[in-house]
Amino acid sequence: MTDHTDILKDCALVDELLVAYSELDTERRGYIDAHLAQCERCRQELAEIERVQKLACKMHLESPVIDRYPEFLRRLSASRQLTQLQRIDEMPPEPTPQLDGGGFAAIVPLFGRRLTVRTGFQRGFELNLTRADGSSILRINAGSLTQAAAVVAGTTIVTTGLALGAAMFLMPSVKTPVPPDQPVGSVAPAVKITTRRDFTAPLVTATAGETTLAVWRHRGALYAQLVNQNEPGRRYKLSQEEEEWIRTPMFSSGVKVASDGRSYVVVGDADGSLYAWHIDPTSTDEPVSTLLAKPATHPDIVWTGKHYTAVWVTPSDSPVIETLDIDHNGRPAETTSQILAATEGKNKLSYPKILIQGSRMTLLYRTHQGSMQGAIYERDQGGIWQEQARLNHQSQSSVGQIQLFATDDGCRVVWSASSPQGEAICSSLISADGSFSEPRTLVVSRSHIVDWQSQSTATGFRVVWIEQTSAGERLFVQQFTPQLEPQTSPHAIVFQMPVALFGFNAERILLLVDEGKEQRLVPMR
Amino acid sequence: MTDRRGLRSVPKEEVSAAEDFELVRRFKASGDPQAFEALFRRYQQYVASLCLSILRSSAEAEDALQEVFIKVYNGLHAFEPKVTFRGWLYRIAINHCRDLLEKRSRRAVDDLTPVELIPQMPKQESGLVASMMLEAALERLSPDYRTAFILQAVEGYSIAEVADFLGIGFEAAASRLRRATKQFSEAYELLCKRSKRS
Repeated sequence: MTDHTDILKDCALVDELLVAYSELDTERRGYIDAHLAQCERCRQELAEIERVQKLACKMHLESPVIDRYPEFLRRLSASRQLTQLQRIDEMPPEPTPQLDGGGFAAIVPLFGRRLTVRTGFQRGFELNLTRADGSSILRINAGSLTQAAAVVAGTTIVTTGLALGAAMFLMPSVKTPVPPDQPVGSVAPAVKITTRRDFTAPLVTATAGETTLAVWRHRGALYAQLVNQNEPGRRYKLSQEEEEWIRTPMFSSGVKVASDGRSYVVVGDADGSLYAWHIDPTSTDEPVSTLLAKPATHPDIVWTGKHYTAVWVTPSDSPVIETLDIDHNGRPAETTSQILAATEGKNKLSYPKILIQGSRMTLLYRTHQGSMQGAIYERDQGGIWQEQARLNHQSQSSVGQIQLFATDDGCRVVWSASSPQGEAICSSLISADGSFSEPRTLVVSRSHIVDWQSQSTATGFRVVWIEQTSAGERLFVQQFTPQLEPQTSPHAIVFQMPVALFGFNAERILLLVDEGKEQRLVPMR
Repeated sequence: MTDRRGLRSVPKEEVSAAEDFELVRRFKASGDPQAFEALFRRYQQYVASLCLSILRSSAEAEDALQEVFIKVYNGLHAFEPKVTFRGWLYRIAINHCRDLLEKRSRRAVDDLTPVELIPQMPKQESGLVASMMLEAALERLSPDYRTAFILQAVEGYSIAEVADFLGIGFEAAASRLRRATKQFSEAYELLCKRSKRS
């Protein structure tokens, strides 16, 4: 501790304390005052400190008042650091939903449990497996009994064998109208993909034919695994700089993957730099990373039919969105990237998505205010993207994930949106002149939608989403017509453990079910 | 030191340590998601402003806020009520931002910083130039000095609070702040001279 009497003599000691002048105790402040009274240099130093602090006040920044909790849940769920909110044993009994249109219910005792089958003519089936005290183990809503049985079979693989046996036992005795046009579900055997709890939910997946590539992060390092049909294939460790990734395990805004039908290119940012990896399932070589850009965040990549095109945000005081063509081997096909969009000031641009149709590119991204903006470009003969029309979509809700799909005369955008009232998945058509059609709300939920994907099918359009509720995670599947009219009622499967959409194509949904000690892939058709 | 900008002017009912402890207790006892949600909503704005103030980038600040709360979520079971939840949370946020600054300073060697851009600014943009010079002067501080300087000089926390957040003693914090203030002042003056010459 300083001898306070020294303060009177020593300018260096005074100087050390000047910045704390207003917080000093009475005794020390008295000594400082006495020193200042006789030292012009220290008085000037104090005046300089006060001047600097006055200047510094001007640098205060105020963060916008927005609700960040939905994004927090999404990230927590995506990183699978989420422990189960409630274990099955702690689950409260679920209220039984009212089924409309009459119907009937049957209750069957089953090894100390009860299986309740309820049907409503408008809403299909509900199977509810409960304990004697009424607490729920498993509940399934399905459009038909066949589907319900299929769902039971699937969830049986990942939970217990009780429900499947009960459903098979009951099936012949239950007479119910089964709509003939309902698709029939089937569940392939589950694939155990790891025996250790080191597999967080995949960040992204891409499917080429029957092969899916999943990319995920574990303890900062980046891994990829091929899943051929329902069999786990080769696993790759992509990031070689594991130490660096471990030090900054969360400092990655995203990883994306695209496929040309034979191989894959993964792009992801780490510690501010954007890398690409080429993964060829037929090659025995280890994937090598190629630095694409620095600094770069929020990457995306698409296969155009001739090459890959990547897009990303270059963070700075005035962020811009840049694009670059990438060859089959994940290496830059051009020497320089092109800036597509820029902001003035520090507004945030995030999660750019592109769709390339011949020489036309549609770009959409999230703005700082939560709206969607972008542009339509045409590529000139010199290979430069020339802006044709600006895209601007304002809404009351905040835009989350964006997906783009080609249509005959433009493209369809599907996006998730959140507001204090809940979350939704919406869609609009974007015409060639950049105008948006009236948005259609495909899904509305008061729960948090942790994961969703949409896809065009032979008969229209399908949306798969997972809601996180206090009663577990619910997977929903709903089919829409090409005009986005609901084709079926949403079918829900309740899981008492975290699930993630692992792969999704016209034929099947591949779910990753996290059972705690191990994770399993559950393919559903 | 007075509270200059109201960042710390959290209404009493919002900073009740007893309520924080009760929410933490509920979360630790049963993993009550509503308890964590309440803590998140109570502090998200203050943590967001703190991260933004230190990082000076809204995109990075938003990411940092999410990462901080994920750390809090994963670490809350180990939290002991020997310190306030608010103090514990802010210390996590400040340390996280400081780590990000260190990483940024390592990789920003080749970047064109705002310092180099300032002479190119039109003279009529005097307000913008002044603001950029302040930011550029801030960029020149080391992560340790910068964090301390922002907390005390920009955000108005007392030196005692800064010392607590940084886990150092009062005199060490005062000494660090004194050096940071000097460095900032010198950098700012240099930039002003350069701007006048151009």
